[in-house]
Amino acid sequence: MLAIIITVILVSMGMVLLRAVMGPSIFDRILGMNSLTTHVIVFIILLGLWSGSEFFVDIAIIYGLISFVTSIAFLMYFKYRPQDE
Amino acid sequence: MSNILESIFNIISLAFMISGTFFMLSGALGILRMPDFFTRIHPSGVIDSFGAPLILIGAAIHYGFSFVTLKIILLILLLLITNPTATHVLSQSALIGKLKPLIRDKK
Repeated sequence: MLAIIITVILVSMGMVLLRAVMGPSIFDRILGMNSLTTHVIVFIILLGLWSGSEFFVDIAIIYGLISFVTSIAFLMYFKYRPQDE
Repeated sequence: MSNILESIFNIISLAFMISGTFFMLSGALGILRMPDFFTRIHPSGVIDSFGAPLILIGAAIHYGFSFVTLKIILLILLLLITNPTATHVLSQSALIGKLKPLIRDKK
């Protein structure tokens, strides 16, 4: 049952990554990457459940903090700048 | 007695995880298929506020009540605080960056 859940999470990760690759504007790409990081956090937790180790939770917490800082930094860079394309 | 309790906890955590997986799949489908940027924010909110916390609650129940449960609750609080902040800054920055929302014409 856990393998089916991990497979479905991987499929939805691929769909979000497709939006991040082919997004029309730069904000679509940032939205896709921001949603992909949430998928990756859930995927790390499920991987920890599958392998039976408890230390994946710490990696997920650190990944969440770094992804928030990255997203805010990209948005502050693109905020006062007219849209390309 | 302990065996029955363990199987009940397994069933509850699997129910949480399956509902969270449904929300994450529907949110990813919405991000892929919605027509506009400002409508794509809505399924992103579905993923961040329904999908991920439900799966994490299921994982916390599966681990049993220990120190790991506290860490997972901390992770859920982190997700629930940082993701709306990022989405708010994203939509505000898209409005400042002259991205026009899709508006239906009045007939």
